[in-house]
Amino acid sequence: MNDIVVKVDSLSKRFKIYSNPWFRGLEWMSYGRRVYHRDFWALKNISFELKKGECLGIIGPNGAGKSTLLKILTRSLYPTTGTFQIQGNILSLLELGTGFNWELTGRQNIYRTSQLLGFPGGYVSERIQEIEEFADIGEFFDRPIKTYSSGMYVRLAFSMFVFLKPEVLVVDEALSVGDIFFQQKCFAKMREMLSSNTTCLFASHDTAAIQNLCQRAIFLNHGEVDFEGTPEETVSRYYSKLGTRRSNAGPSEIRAPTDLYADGLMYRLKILDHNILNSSHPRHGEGGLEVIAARVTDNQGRDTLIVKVLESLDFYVLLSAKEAVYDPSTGIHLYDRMGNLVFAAGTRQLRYRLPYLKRGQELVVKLEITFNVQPGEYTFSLGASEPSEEGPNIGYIHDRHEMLGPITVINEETGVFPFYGVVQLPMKIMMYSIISPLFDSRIGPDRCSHE
Amino acid sequence: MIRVLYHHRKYILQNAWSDLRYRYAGSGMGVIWNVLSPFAQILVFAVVFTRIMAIKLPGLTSEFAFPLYLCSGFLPWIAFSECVGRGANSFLENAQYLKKMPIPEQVFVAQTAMSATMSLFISLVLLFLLALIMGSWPTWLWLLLPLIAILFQGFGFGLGLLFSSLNVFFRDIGQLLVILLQIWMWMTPIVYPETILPEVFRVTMKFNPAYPFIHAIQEMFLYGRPPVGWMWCAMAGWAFGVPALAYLVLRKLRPEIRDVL
Repeated sequence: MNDIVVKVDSLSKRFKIYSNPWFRGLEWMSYGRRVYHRDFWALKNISFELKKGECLGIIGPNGAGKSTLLKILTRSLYPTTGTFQIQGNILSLLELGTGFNWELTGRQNIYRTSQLLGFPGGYVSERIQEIEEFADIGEFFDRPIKTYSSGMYVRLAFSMFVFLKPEVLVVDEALSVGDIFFQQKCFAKMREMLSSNTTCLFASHDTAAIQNLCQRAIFLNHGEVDFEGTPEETVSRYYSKLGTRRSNAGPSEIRAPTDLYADGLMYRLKILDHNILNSSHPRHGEGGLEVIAARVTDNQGRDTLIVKVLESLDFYVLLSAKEAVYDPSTGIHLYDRMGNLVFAAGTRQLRYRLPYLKRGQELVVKLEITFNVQPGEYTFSLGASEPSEEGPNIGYIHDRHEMLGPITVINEETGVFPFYGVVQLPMKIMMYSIISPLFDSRIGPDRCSHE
Repeated sequence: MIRVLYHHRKYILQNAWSDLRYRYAGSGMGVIWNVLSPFAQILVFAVVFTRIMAIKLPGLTSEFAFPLYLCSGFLPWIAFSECVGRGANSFLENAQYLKKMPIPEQVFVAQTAMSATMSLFISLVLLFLLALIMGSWPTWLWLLLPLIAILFQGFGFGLGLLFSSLNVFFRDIGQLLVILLQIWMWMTPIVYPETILPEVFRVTMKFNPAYPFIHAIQEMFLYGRPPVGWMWCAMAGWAFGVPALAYLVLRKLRPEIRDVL
């Protein structure tokens, strides 16, 4: 069984640079005896192989040849030398929406573009329902694309590409689009595709995303493969070569804290007034113990979802028992933009016991969380549960509100960043001074030589 | 090449049609402008040539003969020159698709040619109606007209394909073509009858590639005379030879076309 899906063998690409376009004509007329161009090698001797279901990350600075490589693999550019073989069809998110016609509706465009890419009409008909649901743009799906916002456009395009289920998917920076909820959806979909044996090539500056999705990565520099290895090694090689610090994604939009009431935060009415829960978020659970409202403030009591790195937010959760609850518990889940669970804990994990609640009783719980995490956007969910019969780590979910937020963690410091990586772990530093060996009679060099 | 075009037939047809529909998008009359502008030009020529310059067609006395003569030559010419002129720019216009998607290049030229052909057929239908109203009786020969029109468009597609490949590298070609097409039109008996030309020109006319097509259509439409043997040969030669040549050129240049877009 040959499970190599993509095989690239010493691929090179040369662009000819002419100072005047007509010099090309002169060159043709001289049958190549005279040369009027300069060569620019965008890719030099690239070779790699990809197995089925593998995801290869391609990292490199701008102009390193990432896009040229992907364009050659999707057959929109021709290589100068070298060969490549791809089993099955290949689709590129480079093409994200380029084939769309502005006058046609989203639905019509999906049919049209997929035909253009060589998929039969029936193939799309089977999937159009799923595409529509995934894109989640409501009635805009049947309106002309020219009325779309740029976010909707991207949603439509991404939905189309993932549901066409190519054997090889090429992604070029495309996952940094849309809002955080859609991004999480995209990452989840990408993982699902990878696990169902779609092979993937992923070019990005987003090293965190590469480490997250890929099993292997290559570092492309000046058109050559500088390093190939695990994503972690490759990323660190990339940074060491560039000599730059990991760039931190800034907040997309900063909203100023609005409320200055610092008192009475725990009052039921205050929480209801400043409730962040609404019916547009997904919600599930058995409903015995409900989270009926929640409020998020900074440590000054101002309503906000923006927090500086290493500072904290207070989550006030208003619980209401619809039936008697013997061992109530409430907690929070925090997800990053790729949909990874960063942190989840509640009263039970912190060994904090909430009182028995009678039917109709209410309770306010404050969760104070310090955001020792990378700057960026996070979503969260709030829930209420009870221990289940199945064991200490499985809760019986009474109520859970999902996809809340986003919380924006910002970094205003310009100096050395307090930590690198996903989160800051507790770390202690101690220092011991050592007496110089020259003066230490026991291990000094003189003694050693005598022995 | 034919296989590739057949494979993308739906895309070509749809795009050609939406091209016609949306070229005048936003204007009140929309699609109608496609047909209206050539007819307006014909009207101007008709007035200038019959009223001011008083040109008569040999053997025809009807007052409507000259306008019909104009239409029968001018409408195919418009479509042909669109094939060549717009076709030559089609790679540049669709650079965004070509740069990112693995679509064969010739599809875009075919799309332009198809939209020109569609608008030609709409015009021809109108022309037939006009002819009926003006009292010409349809003959079986009229059925040959679409065939000749298609051959003519095939020739136009070939030239468009040839120049579009070259235009990518030498962008002056597109501009040059606009002028050349103008000159070519006036060197072909379209808006004036062949008979007003001196004998010298009439002999050289056989070397004008557009002449057999235009002449065949005019002859059939006005006099009911089918094209003679040499004209069929010439038409078929141009209509198949030029696209074949253009395809060879494209195949040679293909690896570099997308590099310079």
